[in-house]
Amino acid sequence: MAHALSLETVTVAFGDYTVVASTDLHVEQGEFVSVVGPTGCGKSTLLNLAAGLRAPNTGVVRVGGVPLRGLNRQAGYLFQGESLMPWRTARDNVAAGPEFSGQSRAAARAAADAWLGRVGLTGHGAKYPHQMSGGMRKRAQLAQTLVMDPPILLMDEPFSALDVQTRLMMENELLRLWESGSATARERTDGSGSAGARERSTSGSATARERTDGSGSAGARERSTSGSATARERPDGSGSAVAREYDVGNGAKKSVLFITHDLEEAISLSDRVIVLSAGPATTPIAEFAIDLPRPRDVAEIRLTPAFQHLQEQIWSVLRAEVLRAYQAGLAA
Amino acid sequence: MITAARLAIGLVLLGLWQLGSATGVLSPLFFGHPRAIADVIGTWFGTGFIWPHLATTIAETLMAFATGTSAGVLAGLWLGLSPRTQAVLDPYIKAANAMPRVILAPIFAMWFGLGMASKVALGFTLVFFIVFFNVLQGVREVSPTVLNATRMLGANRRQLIRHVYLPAALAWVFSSLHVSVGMAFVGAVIAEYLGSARGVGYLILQAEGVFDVDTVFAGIVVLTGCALVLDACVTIAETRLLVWQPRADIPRDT
Repeated sequence: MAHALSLETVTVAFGDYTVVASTDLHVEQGEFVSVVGPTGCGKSTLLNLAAGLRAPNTGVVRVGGVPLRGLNRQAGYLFQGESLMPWRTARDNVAAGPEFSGQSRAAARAAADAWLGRVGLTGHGAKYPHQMSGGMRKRAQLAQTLVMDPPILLMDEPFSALDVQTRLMMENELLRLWESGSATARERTDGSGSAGARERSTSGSATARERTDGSGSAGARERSTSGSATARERPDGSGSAVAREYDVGNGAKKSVLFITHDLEEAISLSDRVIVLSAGPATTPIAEFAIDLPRPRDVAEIRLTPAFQHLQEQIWSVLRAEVLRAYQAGLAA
Repeated sequence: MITAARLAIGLVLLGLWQLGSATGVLSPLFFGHPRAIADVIGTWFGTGFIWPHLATTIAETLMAFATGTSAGVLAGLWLGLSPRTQAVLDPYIKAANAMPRVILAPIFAMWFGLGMASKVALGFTLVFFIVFFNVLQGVREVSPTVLNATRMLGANRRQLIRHVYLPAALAWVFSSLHVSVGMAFVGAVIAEYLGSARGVGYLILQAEGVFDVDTVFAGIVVLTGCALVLDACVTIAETRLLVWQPRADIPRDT
């Protein structure tokens, strides 16, 4: 089966300045991969490639094995900065995606309310972004992204602006949501399948989530059968065999590409941590499998010997790069 | 305390004026007479003589404001979203904006006659550029993060314009609402003053022709009051429409 997401020997340059040099990187389906690196090393650029917001100068980005053209419609993107529309309430911000996809306002709002509840914002739906705290805005952003139920989640230092306690809470929240799988899988078990619908013109996966009739109670986990059923339900019936095979698999966990400069955060969340070299011309220099048991509590797991052992290992690689970036920063 | 001080200043100024004109220090021929001015205003409102004129001026203001704002928003969005066209048209826009537009009033009077149309036209040219430049700025300053996030949520170009560019631009329009409503009013009054058959500006023009300075002042007072009322309406509209913008008096959760 194809990787959920892969960057194949991609390079990115702004004029003569090479930001990303010949990078290979992939995320398996349902895998949580973190990329750590010194500040200013082009981490966000990698994420923008994966999102299709930027095309690589050379190399190719594949989504489910299919070369990416234009925006990555399989992906939800959680930005580092403030990405909520300030003129919409929390609820209307979360409802935006479903609305764009053509859902009725009522359905979009119902989905939004369900997701506001899931991220702990029940009762805050009528607030505008400026009336919410940084942590609440992040939750709203998370709901806004997850309501679309994207099979791939791209996250760019999403919690870096939060204070330490809020941050730990949000990380645990993220793991909880991720481990519980896609919205549909969960919706079907609790029987109220209205959340997270999205019409995706590029993929066959939309219908699995579009289904609101509750007939899919067998669950998206029953892949082979429900997969063919959804293919038939698709309005335009197109989509390559590769895409379909890939889509069938996403009833479970999302594939996550998480960017951070915080090593502890990376280890406590991930299945795999990739270390980038200091920029310019950044490229992955090491990769570590994180075999810590799940479910995890991000605060507690940091105290275990296994965690600390991993941290020492990764830091021994990262330290040199951080130093290099720091000295380059001083020189500049 | 503040209110008392404000009232005191007004009363002292009016008293000095009244005293000056009564004793002849200020020639009543040039400076009028507060009592006489009050009488004129009283007669205007008492007999209802002023209403058609005031209604004309306000109608012109509102039409100039509506047409100028709509055109400004459309043009601003269009040029803001097509930087190349904007670059081509830039010198013409700058020239049109730099031109002292009041001087267009006689031309508009020839084109559109002495009725309301020529007044609306002058107000339009004043309002249009304020709104246009604000929308242009608003479109340019849309947060790239919000824009990218909205695109990632599946918004197409039409939806981006409707749900991101337009609200962002309108925020700038609303923030300049006081100025643009004021300009619409100024355009209407000036155009009336330069040639018309109706409106408060016309009353001032007529009175000036016969050296009736009390009536001129009465017209000025009525216009000022009218401008204050318009401004208050704008403030009310603003708080309604910009509820999503951070304000000091709205508490924020922590």
